[in-house]
Parts: sequence; structure tokens; C-alpha cells
Amino acid sequence: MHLITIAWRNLKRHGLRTGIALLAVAAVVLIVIFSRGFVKSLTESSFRLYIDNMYGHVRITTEEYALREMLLPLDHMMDGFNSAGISSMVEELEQHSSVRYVMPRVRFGAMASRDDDMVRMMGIGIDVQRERTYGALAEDISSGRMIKEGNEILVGSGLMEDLKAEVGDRVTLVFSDAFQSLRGRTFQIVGVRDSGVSDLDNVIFYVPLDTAQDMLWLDDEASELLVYTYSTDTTEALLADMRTLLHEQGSDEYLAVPWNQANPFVEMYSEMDNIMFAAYLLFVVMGTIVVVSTLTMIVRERTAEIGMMSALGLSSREIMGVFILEGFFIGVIGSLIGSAVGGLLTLYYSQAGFYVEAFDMFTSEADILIEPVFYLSFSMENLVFSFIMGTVVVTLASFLPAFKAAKLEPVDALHYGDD
Amino acid sequence: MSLLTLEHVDKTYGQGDLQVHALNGVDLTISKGEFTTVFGPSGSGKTTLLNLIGALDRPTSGSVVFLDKPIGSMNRHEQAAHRRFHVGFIFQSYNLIPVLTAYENVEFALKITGIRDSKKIHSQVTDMLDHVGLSELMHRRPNQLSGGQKQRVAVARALVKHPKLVLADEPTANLDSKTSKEVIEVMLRMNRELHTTFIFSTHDPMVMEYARRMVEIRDGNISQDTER
Ligand SMILES: Nc1ncnc2c1ncn2[C@@H]1O[C@H](COP(=O)(O)OP(=O)(O)O)[C@@H](O)[C@H]1O
Ligand SMILES: [Mg+2]
Repeated sequence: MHLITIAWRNLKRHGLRTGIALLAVAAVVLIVIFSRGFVKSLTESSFRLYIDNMYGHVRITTEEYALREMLLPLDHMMDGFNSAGISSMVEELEQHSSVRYVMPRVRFGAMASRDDDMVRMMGIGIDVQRERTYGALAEDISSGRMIKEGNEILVGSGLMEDLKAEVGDRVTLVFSDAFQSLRGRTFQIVGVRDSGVSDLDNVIFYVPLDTAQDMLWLDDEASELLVYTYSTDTTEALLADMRTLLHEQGSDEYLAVPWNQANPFVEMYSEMDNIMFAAYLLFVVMGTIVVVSTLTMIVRERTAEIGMMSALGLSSREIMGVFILEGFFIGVIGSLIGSAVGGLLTLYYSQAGFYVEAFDMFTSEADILIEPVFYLSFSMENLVFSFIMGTVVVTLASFLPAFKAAKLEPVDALHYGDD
Repeated sequence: MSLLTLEHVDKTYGQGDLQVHALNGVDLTISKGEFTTVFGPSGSGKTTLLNLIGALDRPTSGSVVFLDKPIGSMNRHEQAAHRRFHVGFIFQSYNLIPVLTAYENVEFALKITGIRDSKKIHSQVTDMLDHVGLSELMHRRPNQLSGGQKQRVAVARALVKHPKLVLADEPTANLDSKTSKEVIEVMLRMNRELHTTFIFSTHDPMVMEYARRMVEIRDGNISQDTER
């Protein structure tokens, strides 16, 4: 009991030193909270982009299509269970309890000429009704409206610039159909999509699914089905269900792949956690050095006092205890301050968001989806983790000076600085 | 009856050319209830002797026996336990724990002996502070007390656990003569009332006057041992 009192009051006694150590601990905890919130938000928002735009929670394609996907082939379409058509397969999947949305899509290449240049693009035929229900696409429309039917297209904002077009304009697109013959068709631009991700906005336009099927000479077919469940966390369960279903239906030529295995970049993001960990470990080490040197100075100052306590009959363990407790208090209070400030800041930036220019460049150079404006992820888990980490690390760090204090010979300590 | 026996005690500090023979073959017996002073010039070995008697240090050779227990050959841990229960220390300076009040300093010495009964602790601590005349100031921290008051708290703290032996290494060296007298008189009174054995070192003749036995030490040897 008294050891706690002694340790606690000594914090105030060494006010300036304690203050510096507290500040260091708080700063480190803040940095940890920030970087974890950053990674979390970055990965979460990127994951969301991949899920919304490319893979669903689980994407079903034919095996052949998955292999040649880069070429946007039209000869490896899915035509549903037992070739009964993709519409009935979609409806059947929707009956499943783990399935929330199913969106059939047809992806194809197309071109348009503008001045002397050819503008290359990717068309996606979408089930307008179902995409509307899911909502991600409609949310990003910056001007005009969602496509409804016929020869209407929704065009990415970057692509709009390349086409030098405006909402309401008509453009003629050239593409090859399922029989490899070159065709053309004129569409009306009814809306602009601005997702904020140039990789998407610069190349993609959307067209109603039946229009796509018609122009490409496809039957009731699709190149992929994006299947969504209720939460990203239950992707595994959905995947298992889908695989069972495909197997039961004898559709073993279809491949179900979860979003997090569909793309090497998604896997790379998971690595980012480790890289960030290494980065903030550096700050943790620096903070630890501050605490250790502060406590070492305090121990040196109190050498004679340590000798006196030892003369009173305090054991080495108890003397160690006093200094570990002092370290523990510095750890708890510093981490508490860091967590409080970190909590408020992450909360603020989870609402207000940051704009990172580098990301904008990054995403246009490489084939990676990152939103240039991102929102720090606020989570209680992050605060608690960082608080506990700060407390534990600082307490452990205080063992070193505490051990030095306990090792002092009482006689030497008592007469330290006598002569 | 003898409380403490030193036989052929040597204490050497350092090694080789830097060796200092602080004590050379000291033989000394202390009986229960003594009020003894160890005096001699600076560097004669007073502190070294008291440290060995108080189990703060171990002799280079010879034996230190406290009530049949060879405290000179105990390990650190055993020595700490011995001090905790049987020895009260009063030093010249750095005597009190600065962050604890007078009351808490005294209480602390009692609590570390393992007493849990808070009523008993309270009465024993207030009693002892009363004895040394410090009841009024018991909630002050050391930095709010004068040198003499601090030493009286130290006396109370040394005695609160009723140890068999109290060692005071130049307890009055930092005090003026009036306060020195007050402190030594408190010690003497405690010795009479509680029959606690006191050994204190000093080189102040006025303080020596109070001792019933005077052990003079010179160059690490006892040169004179007189009782009165
Ligand atoms: N830790 C030590 N290391 C080396 N020499 C010491 C140490 N402590 C005391 N001495 C020496 O031992 C001798 C006796 O010292 P001490 O017992 O402190 O004398 P006193 O208390 O009478 O002044 C002195 O010469 C002193 O310098
Ligand atoms: Mg001395």
C-alpha cells in the first residue's frame, strides 16, 4: 500500500521529469493510434472499392474467364445452371439465406474516336434494377442520372474528359461482338459517375445488361456474378454456400472466388499492417528510451534515499516495486492522455477526412484502387489496444532502472555523494 | 546479558594498492539496554562499525553475532529481513522518505514488519510521535520540518517497531547544539522507558556526555572503552 503512495507522490515530486516522460508516452500512443487508424481506414476503404466495383463478396465466373479476364473475352460466358440462362441462376442464388444481392455483369472492351485519337474503354453491362438496390453505383453519380434502358450509358468522369463529352451528348462506340465481328452503336450519355478513383473513372462506362447482351450477340448470359452477403466478415460462410450450391447443380466449371483472394493487391494491403507496425515500433522504441532515461536519472537522484529504505529493511523486490510502479503510473497516465487525444483526433478525421495527393498519383500510375480522400478509421479497439500497449511497454521498460535501483548495495547507496 | 558480539572483525575496502583497512581486529560486546557512544575522528571507522553491527554490510573477516545469529554471514535478503525486524536506524541526513508525512514515515516502518491491525498501528504510531513530542506536526512532510524535528521523527520511526537495537550514525552532526541536546535527550528517554539498546556515533563531546559507555575508535581499532 505504502509503496503505491510513495510511487504516486514521487511522480509529483519529479514533476518536470515526469511531465516529459508523460508527454513522450502520450505522443507515442497518439502516433500508434493514428497509424493504426490510417491503415485500417485505408484498407477498409480500398477493400470496399474492390468489393463494390469488382468482386462482390464472392465472384462467380467460368474458370476459363478467370484465366483470360484481362482480355475481356466474350466466349467464356456463364449461361446459368444447366444452360437454363443467367436470369434464373440469379434468382436461384437470391433464394439462399446467406445471399443478399446478386448482380450479373457483362464486361467488354470498346473504343471511340475523338479528334485523331482512339479512346479505349471498358463497358460493363449491368442489371439496372439490381445495381440500384445495391446502391454503390447510383451513389457516385455526379451529374445526370442512372441509366434505365436502351442505348443509354453512364460514363466515368475521367472518360468524359477524354471523350470531350457532356451529359446528353451522343457517342458512337466500336466493339467486337461474341462472334469477333466489329460493330458500332451510338449511345446517349445520361449520367456521369465520379467515384474519386481515377482507375475506375478513366476507363469504365455502364450500359443496361440487356442492351449489352443484344449488342454483343449474347443470349441470357453474363461474364460474372457478384454475390453479396450481409457483412464482409461472413464472406467465408457465403463462399462455402456458393461452392456447395455450384457443386450440387453440377456446375463445376464455375469458379467462386472471395474478394480477398481475387487480386494480389488486396493481399498486399494485408502486408501493409505489418509495414506500419514496423514503422510505429520505431516510435515505441524512442518513447521507451525517454522513459528509461528519465527513470534512470530519478534513480540516481534518489540513491541515498534508496539506501535509507534498504536500511529500513525493504527488500530488493520492494525497492524495485517502487520504481516499476512509478513507470507503471507514467505508462497509464501517458497512455490515457494519448488515447484521449488520439480518440478525439481520429473521431474528427473520421468525419472530416484527409486529401492525400500522393494517393491520387499512385492510383493513376498503378493498377490499385485507393481513394485519394480517406477517412481515418475511429475504433474503440484501436484506442484500447494502443492504451494497453503504451502501459505494458512503459511498465516493462521501467524494469531496467528499477533493477539498477534494487541492485545498489545499501552501504554504497547511503553514502552516495558523501565525499 | 549480551545482545551483540564482534570477534576479530576486519573490514577492508578496495583492492591492491587502493586497499583501505577500515577496521582491524575489532572485538566488542554490547549488552541489552546499553546507551553507548562510538567516538573518534573522522575516518576512524565509526560508520563502518555501525554498518556491520546493523547488518548493512558484511565483515571481510571475523564474526558479528546478534543474539546467537551470525548476521555477518547472512545474505542480502536475510540481512534485510533482520534489519526490518530488529534494527532501527537513524542517520545524519537523508533520513526520512520525503514524500511521506511524519506520521506516514513512522507508520511505514511499522507496516513493513507485517502488522496489519490498523487500530494497533495507529495507536502505536501516535504514541511514538507523542513520546518524541511531535504529535502536533505529524501531518507535515519532512521539508516542512526543522532539522531537529526531522531527527525526532527518525527516532520515532526507529523505535516504533520496538527493535532490539537502535543505531544512530552521527545523528546530531547537522544540528545546532540546542537541538542536538533535545534529540539526544529524546533518545536517552527512550532508552530508559523502553529499555532499547542504543549505539550512536559522534564526535561532539557534549553529545558524548550522555552516554553510559564510551567506545573510542582510532584507525580502525578500539583504543578505549570506558563505562560510567
Ligand atoms: N565504501 C568505501 N570504499 C572505500 N573506502 C571506504 C569506504 N567507506 C569508508 N571507507 C574508508 O574507511 C575508513 C573508515 O571510514 P568510516 O567508517 O566512514 O569512518 P568514520 O565514519 O569514522 O568517518 C576511511 O578511511 C574511509 O575513507
Ligand atoms: Mg561516518
